[in-house]
Amino acid sequence: MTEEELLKNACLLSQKKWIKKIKREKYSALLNKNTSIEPVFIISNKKALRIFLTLSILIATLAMSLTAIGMFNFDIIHFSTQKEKTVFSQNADYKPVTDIELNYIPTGFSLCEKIENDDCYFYKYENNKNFFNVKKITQSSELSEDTENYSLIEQKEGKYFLYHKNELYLIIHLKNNYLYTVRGDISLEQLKKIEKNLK
Amino acid sequence: MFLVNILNPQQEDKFTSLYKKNFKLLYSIAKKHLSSKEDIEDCIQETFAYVVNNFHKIEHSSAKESRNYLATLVNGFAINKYKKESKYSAVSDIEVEHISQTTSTSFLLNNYSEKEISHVIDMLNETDKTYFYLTYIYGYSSKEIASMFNVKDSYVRKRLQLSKQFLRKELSA
Repeated sequence: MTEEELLKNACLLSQKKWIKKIKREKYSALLNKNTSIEPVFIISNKKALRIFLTLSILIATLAMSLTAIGMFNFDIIHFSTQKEKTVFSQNADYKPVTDIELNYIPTGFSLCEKIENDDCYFYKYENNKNFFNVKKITQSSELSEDTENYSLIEQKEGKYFLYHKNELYLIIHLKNNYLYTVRGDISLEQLKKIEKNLK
Repeated sequence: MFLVNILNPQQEDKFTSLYKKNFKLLYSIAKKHLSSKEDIEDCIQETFAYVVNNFHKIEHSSAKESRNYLATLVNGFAINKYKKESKYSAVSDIEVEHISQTTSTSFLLNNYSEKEISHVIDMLNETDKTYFYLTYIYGYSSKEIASMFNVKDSYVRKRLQLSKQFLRKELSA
């Protein structure tokens, strides 16, 4: 082998090492700062990729669990106040309505309408001039009540709402794991008494 | 990319793929010597302009050989640009004479393996390495290298001579 050939082969070896060294320096890192080329994020390490994926799944599961727990802890709230009605919602296990007990009925009122099913019990009472109705619904249902032009005059711990419009009063109350409503154009004292004695 | 017009369609395709595949590598090599983005891009442009005019040299080379060729070229152009900016002084004749005197004239490279020699070549500075690669791998003459990097013919010869002296000195040590 001549000296020229020897030098050529040695140069080829050296050049190969030189290029390898540049590649080892991860030249993309040098580019990121000063070029317009978009940096490419590559997870070349399989272990890192596995850890990244596991963490992502764990975080997603944790977030979902926390959201679910949070939902079950909701108290009765009116989350949507539209013009026509207010929607009350309470997330809870389904518990069918089996009866409704009115321990106080003002004198002169008689039952004129009655609806009974697993989700709702509804009784309407009337005398010659006035009316009132009571409703008991299962806690897992949404309650949509007509609150158009009503004003909220009392609220207790997100479980008790008292509305008023002209001569009408409306009470919405969460108790004993049921939602109760009492609406009528009778006096507020009487309406409150009905609601208090409602089971 | 107007330079591509000089090439025929087949060469044009190869040139485009060379550009796309090697741009990042060439950018990082140039960035080792140059700081401004404009200078680096100028340097890469200069390299590819040179490649277009000498496309026959890499037309039949493998992708790996072409990449190494481009890397060597861009390294040279970057060093040259850096030197121009920092008004780098040419190697003095005294330095050459000094090295010549300190090394034995009866020294033969054939007594050493390619690996040993390549190890010493790695120790050369970037300029000398580039001139060495272009001379011994690609067969460029000192005149061609000088015109390529816009330096004096004598400067390239001196650098090559100094590098060889350095090789001998290191190997005999």
